[in-house]
Amino acid sequence: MCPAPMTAPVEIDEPTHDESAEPDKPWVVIVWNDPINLMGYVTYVLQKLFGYPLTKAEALMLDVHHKGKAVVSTGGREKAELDVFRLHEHGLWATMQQD
Amino acid sequence: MTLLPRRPFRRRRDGRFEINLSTDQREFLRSYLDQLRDLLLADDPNLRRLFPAAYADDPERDAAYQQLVHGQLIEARFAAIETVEATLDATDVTDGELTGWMQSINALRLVLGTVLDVSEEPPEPDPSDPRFEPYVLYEELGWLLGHIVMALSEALPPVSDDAGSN
Repeated sequence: MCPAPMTAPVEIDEPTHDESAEPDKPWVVIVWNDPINLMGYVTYVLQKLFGYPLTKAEALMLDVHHKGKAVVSTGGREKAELDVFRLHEHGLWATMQQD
Repeated sequence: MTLLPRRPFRRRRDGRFEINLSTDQREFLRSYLDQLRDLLLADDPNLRRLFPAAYADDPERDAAYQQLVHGQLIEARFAAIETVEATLDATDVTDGELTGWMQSINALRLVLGTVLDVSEEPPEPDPSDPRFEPYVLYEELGWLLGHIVMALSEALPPVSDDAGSN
């Protein structure tokens, strides 16, 4: 996955490629509840994409179902964007934001 | 809805997956996948659930994300549909092929659920409702998907319970 286009006019000698205002804050990937996706399907996708054990995947799915959302992964922006993409590929309603 | 006495998808000991569907069921899948392909080519608004926003509060970044992945997501859908079409008459498939079935059937459900504006617990389909047929189809797709997920879940690699501290 490519990062978003650079917005800073001058490239300063920074160790990070993350151009966000607060590069140190991790990104969280959130899956939101929706009325269409099956609970078993959501559980399976979380196991398959993230290698979570069934117990963890089921707990996250139940959070999505009962609380409306759950954080399913965290990390740098590029990793989060790739995770969101893989979730979108599987039809899940996923977004990312800085924690 | 026709409930078959046998499970429609079953994992075999050799790692392949048996498909026990009637000719009618295979034909109805073929016809709806044709329609899904047409919708994808037409960029129909009912496809919106297939392309969610990644950055809910940042339209600028989301536009960049959409520009990056929209084509890839469409290509992935076409590839999955082609996988189903190529194996629609098969009696058994690989896990990769069955994954194509899963993704295609889920995409169909997402589109149909959007069109029907379904709620979490849809009422029993009422035969006098003009939307009876698509509701039954929606239920049937859910039934097929549930069985595919069950079969594929048996093929997931074993994970210890303390794994996944992502």
